[in-house]
Amino acid sequence: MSREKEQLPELTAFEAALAALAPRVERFDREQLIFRAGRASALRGTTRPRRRWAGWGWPAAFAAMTAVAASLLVMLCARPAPNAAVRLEQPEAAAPGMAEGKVAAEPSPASAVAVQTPVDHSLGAVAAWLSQWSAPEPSAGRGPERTDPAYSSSYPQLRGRFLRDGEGPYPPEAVVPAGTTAVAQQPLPYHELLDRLLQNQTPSRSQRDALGGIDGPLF
Amino acid sequence: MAGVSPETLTRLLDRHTAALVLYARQWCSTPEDVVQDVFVLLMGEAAAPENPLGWLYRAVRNKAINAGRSGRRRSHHEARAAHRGEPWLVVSDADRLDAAAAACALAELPIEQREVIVARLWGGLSLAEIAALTGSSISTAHRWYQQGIAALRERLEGTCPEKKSNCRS
Repeated sequence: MSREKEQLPELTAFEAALAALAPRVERFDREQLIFRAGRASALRGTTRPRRRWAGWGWPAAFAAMTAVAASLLVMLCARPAPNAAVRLEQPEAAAPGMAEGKVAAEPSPASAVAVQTPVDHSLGAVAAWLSQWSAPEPSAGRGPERTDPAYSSSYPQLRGRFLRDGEGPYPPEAVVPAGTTAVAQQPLPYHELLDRLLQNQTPSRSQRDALGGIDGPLF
Repeated sequence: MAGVSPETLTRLLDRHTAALVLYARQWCSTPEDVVQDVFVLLMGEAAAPENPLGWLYRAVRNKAINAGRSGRRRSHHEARAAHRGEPWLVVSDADRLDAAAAACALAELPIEQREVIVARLWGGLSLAEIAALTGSSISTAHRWYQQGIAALRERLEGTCPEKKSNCRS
């Protein structure tokens, strides 16, 4: 090495004199060393050889489980909002359980209304939905008669009504009597409803529902 | 691959035991035990290392540092080792330098310079091997070596009684 040769001659002589000093070794016993080496060799022969990957099993399993748990947590936190169910409601042509000759309280909307509501499958939501269906109407004259067996609160009848009418919040509309012309009534805009209200004209139920189910002392 | 041959082991024991003991003494108070453990480890190796001397110095260094740490944890051992104060070098009238003074001056050097000087002068390692051993660059090892030798020379050629009285070994 060039740097080693760059040292001064007197320094090299000093190094030689220093290296001539013998290190002190007092308690180093060769016989003991050979004995220990032999004993270690004998102990190695009696013990089972350790497999190369023996110590990696549990750490690898732990790492894999941790990775799976972390990925599941990330997926849980990053998942999108619950899907909204799009339900297409179409006006019923005729409810088979409804008796003919009943006066239609409300004309059904002429066009199909697409209602987008988030699906809530919780037990409380189902109970509220059932109670809504089984609860009596707040006022008479808007829907079918209370005596109609389709509006009974018994479970088989509720189920039959659900299978027939779907889960829509509206009671099935009555059938327009034969010979009359069903006039499609479009939902009124807000300002017209307000005008009618100010002129003491009560809007129909479908018009109120079109405004988001406004109900109260005004109506 | 076979382990260390008996001839190599004998040669290493004959030529390098004293230097390895002096090297281990830089960190711990039981250097002979450390060197013995390392030789037992070398004999138990299934495959002989490429550079057995470098392997020995590295193993002795690691084991001596660990032994020094555990020795420091035991306060009574530390006090006893400090009280013992064994000389590092054999005193001989034929030597040009005073062995006790040289050991005293060597003990007062920083550990980096001491390690490089012992490995170079008594161990016979090259600066490249010392750099690999200490984890430093060759130029750094060379600088430490030169600074240590200069300090030793200054102290040994201008040794005063006051410095001798402060010597640890």
